Amino acid sequence: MRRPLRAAAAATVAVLFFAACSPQGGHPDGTDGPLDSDLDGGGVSIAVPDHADWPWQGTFGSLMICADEEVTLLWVEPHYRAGRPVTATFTVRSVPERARRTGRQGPWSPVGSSTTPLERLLGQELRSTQVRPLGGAVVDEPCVPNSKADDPYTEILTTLAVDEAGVWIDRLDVHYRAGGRQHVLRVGWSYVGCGRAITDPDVCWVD
Amino acid sequence: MRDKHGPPRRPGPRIGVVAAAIALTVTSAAPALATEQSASETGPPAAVAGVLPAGADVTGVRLIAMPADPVLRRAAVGSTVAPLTEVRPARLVIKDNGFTAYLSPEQAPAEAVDGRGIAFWQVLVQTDQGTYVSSASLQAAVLPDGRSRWARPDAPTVDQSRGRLRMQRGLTRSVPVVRAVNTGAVRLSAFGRVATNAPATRAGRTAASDPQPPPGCSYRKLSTRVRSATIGTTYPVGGDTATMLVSSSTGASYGVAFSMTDRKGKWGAFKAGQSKHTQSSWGFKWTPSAKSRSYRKGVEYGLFETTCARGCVKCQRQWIPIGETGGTGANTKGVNRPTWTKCAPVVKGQWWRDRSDGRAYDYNAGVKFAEVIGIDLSVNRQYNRSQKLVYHLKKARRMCGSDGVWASKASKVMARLR
Repeated sequence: MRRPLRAAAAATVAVLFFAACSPQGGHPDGTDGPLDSDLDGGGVSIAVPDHADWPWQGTFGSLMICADEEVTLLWVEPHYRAGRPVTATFTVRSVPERARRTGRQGPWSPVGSSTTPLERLLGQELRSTQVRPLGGAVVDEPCVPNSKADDPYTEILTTLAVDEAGVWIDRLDVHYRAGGRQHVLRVGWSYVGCGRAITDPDVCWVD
Repeated sequence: MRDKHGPPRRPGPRIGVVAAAIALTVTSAAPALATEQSASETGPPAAVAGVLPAGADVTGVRLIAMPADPVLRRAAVGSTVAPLTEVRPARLVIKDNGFTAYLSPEQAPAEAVDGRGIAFWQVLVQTDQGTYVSSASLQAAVLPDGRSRWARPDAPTVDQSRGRLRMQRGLTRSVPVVRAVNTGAVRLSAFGRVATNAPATRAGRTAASDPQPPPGCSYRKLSTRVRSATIGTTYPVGGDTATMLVSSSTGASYGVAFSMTDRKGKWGAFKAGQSKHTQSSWGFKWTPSAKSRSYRKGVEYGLFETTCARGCVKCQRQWIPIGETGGTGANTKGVNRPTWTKCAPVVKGQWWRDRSDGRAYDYNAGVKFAEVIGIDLSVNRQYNRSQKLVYHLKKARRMCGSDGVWASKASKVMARLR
């Protein structure tokens, strides 16, 4: 059963940095575990917003996760190809199946990319049945082969505070616990906040 | 359910492909067989599976390894390529009109496995109602723990890593390391059926229900054609642009077409068969464009005619993809914007796909062959790091996926205005 939408501010607690992450109480055993992602390889970049206040905030989603047994998310370990964020926040959002989505459908969609501040994004622009900080979140969304957009989903949102250099995450390792063991789910989707350190024209396009 | 353990025989006697005429082509869904996974855990892995029309009891399956693409490409028109080699499945599970054949990748003849571990097989299914034929491209692979498995060509690799497969005669092949979820039998859905009244040939007569097809088949290369294949489409909007990059083609699976002679020796119409993977190393980047367009590459096909030692004299012809040419093109005419509505909002920036664990780009009429054989053939290509599709978004948009799937997972994507 989904819990009601919590205050958006409470959802932004899980600020974790790659340098600060370390496995605790177990050995990650690679990608084979009960947690899976419904996300293929690729990525999305956000151009530096016009009139940006530094650092500017970008939120990325589309990382749908599911598990065939109950798992507890621990932390996310981003792999940086360029730059580092000022802060990184990871949030878990739940959306029900189509029949239970009321009103306009747009706010129930996943997040491709957004520069709306996270609190406003979760509180006004998106609809969810539950929003939680990632650390300690329990996921029991079953994995459905060939899932469609009308199926329920659980999405991890990544919010980055980006400075002039920019930041390029090219892989996310989601650490979690299931059945008394610690596992890692590797996700090969890129999240990019453009800046002077990102020079690949097929990632950050210059007008 | 019957479980037939075939002796794990080394490549030995060659057998024929089929005797005579194709009476019909059937396409049937191939549901998973209940025992497939449990059986593969303890013995040789599943290689191919299929379901024949209802009422046909499967009595046997034969796998015939084809020469690798370089051999098929190098063969001169008019020459005959090396005779095929039969490999008997190590295990065969039959349930009524369905079957799963188990075979270790190590059992494949080394000369049939290309540099990426892909082998192309002819599959003969013998039933009490006659012999059915099909074909399959299988990717030899290993799991992270080292066990060998069959996978679909272009199955995503674990961290881009590769493993070693020890083949016969001390040979080895470098093969991808894949996750267990990406392994399993290739499901055959297109079968051709041997006519019930096989013609007399100068080599003899073969009954359709002959449990042992005739031995000694070979392929004669009759001609080659280069055809254009669509490998992707983009639909930018509002003055945005999109492009596609191929840094080093890892190939794709292209449709095979086949025709059989009837009892009077007349060739039947070509039918779409299964698909076959082929590749060549080349790269290209299309100039970004604001128009909806399809991206094309050249594929070389060879027309091969099958003759067996008895029962089949020039009985089957197949157009088989044997390589990519490196030639490229694009098309904007008739590429209409779809009406997909499953969309996620994005802001100004870029959006791309470059690797896939899920739905591949597939296009049933992707290979333009109609002017040659009357039908177009299929293309199936996984997104991967060397084949990238990019949208340059000047303003906030929505990225939408095909087939009711979110764009991050869909086989085709489009951009829409917010």
